[in-house]
Amino acid sequence: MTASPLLRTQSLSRRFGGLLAVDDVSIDLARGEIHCIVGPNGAGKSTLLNMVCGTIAPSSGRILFEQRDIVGLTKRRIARLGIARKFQAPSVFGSLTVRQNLEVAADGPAGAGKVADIDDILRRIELTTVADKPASLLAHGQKQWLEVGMALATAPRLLLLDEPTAGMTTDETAKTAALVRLLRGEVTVLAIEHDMGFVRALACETIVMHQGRVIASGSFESIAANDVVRDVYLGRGSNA
Amino acid sequence: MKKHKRPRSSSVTWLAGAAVLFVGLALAPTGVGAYDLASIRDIMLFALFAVSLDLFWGRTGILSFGHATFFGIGAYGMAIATVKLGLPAGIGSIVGLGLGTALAALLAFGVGYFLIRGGVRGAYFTITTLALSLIAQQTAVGWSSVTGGDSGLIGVPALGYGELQLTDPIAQFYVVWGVLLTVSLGAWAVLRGRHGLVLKMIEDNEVKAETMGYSTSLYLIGLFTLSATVAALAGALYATMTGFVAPDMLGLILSTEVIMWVATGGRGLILGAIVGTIVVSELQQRISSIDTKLWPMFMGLFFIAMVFLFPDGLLSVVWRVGALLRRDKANGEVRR
Repeated sequence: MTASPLLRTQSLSRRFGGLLAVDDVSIDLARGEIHCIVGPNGAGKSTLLNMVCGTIAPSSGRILFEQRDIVGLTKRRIARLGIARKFQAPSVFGSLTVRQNLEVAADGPAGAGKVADIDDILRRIELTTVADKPASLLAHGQKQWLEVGMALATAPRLLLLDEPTAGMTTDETAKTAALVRLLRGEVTVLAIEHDMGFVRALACETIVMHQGRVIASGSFESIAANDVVRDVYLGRGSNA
Repeated sequence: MKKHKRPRSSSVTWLAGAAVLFVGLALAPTGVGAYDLASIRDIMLFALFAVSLDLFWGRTGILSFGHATFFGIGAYGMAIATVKLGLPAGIGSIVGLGLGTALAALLAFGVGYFLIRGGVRGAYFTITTLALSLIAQQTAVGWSSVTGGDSGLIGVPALGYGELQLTDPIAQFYVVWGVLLTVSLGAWAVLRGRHGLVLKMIEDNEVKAETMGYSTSLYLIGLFTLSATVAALAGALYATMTGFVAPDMLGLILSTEVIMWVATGGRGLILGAIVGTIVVSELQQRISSIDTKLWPMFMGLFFIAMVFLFPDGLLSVVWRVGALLRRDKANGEVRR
């Protein structure tokens, strides 16, 4: 018998007025695995992520976390269940120091003190030398890592990453990929990404979305070889 | 140059500043006449009111434009208990104090519950609380059987319990001094700790704090209620010492003035709220004594000048000068 998925969406849909942003999406996330959702702008990736962490309510469908339906729970309840989220725009507390940012994550209701070793997280996100600086002084890429670190400080079961490499240099992207790769087996990760280089570096389970639907999923190699996916990325599909 | 640990040095600076200020105020009764003493006492009560606004606005960045509502409710609660209900002098003012602060706390909790839990923030919160001030003032004017209408209520007795009546001006002065000191120190001590950190998180990015599991609405409602309670305490004490209440105590002008006091001193600094109140009130008295028409004009110009020259308040000069000195010192070392 195989282990049940950590997260399962069943026929999940979200309508904004006349637009079906997410259309009948059913995905399973295997425990401890890294998953990437790719797709062009407007494919519904962020909406899907927002529904999982409770910022947007689904129009229909179910979201099962540990076989429990979490639709309708507040953001706080979902956070306390162990779902951590890194926003697309870096969201750190600028007037707090880097270390304080990690501490309020670790000691907060979601973290509940499960992670005691802040220094270890500082090392992993390579911010040890700037630990006592206000987070507002960090470079863009460093803020992104700090936010990943804050998510890790809550010892999450599921880590949602919304475009973790947005605005990063090639070097920073490679570093981010290395950081996320190390999480395999420790945390289940669901990342939205535009950067195919990043997804390739992770060599992870890949889900391709287009116009609200999942059009392909599987290992990265199988996706990269998929003609439909190529069409969507080259723009030969229908114009959205 | 020695490495500077900012948080420690700055709290030492602020504590020293506060100590100088409070010792200076404590010495006032030895040097000034009865009239000035009463006016310093009133300024300290307004400073307490300013501290109450700073507790909320200064820490969360959410501006309440109707804070006089709570000051006024405190004052009216006191006046209604003592003058209208005619409770005996022995317990009247204690009941009045309880009534005023409890009503203000209840109203703030109710308003906070619906606004803050409903996701009302920023300018929308400001506008709604502005309406609150207008409603309160209209109620005070219109409900004359209870509030005395336009002319308010006079003859509010001094604070007292049993045989003890606080009628001596110097004793009144020190009670107000003590309350202001206690509330300021208490607020400072609480906000340095974990609660202050959570409030900073909320000001920086409330949604993020929520996705980390923090009950941000609960924090904001609690703080708003606390802030209103302190404002009502200031109002209730004010009524017992001036002996009257009037509708302008919960009106828009006082709501605006308190914002100016806090902004002048520096939002987010408890000491700033106190210094701002003292500076603006002093200026108001000096300038109005030349010609009463000058003050509104001066106030407008002063406020514009503040926004351009010291957007972080007068006390920001302290750390600006500090930064300049450090830079000069660093340059000097390089030259040598």
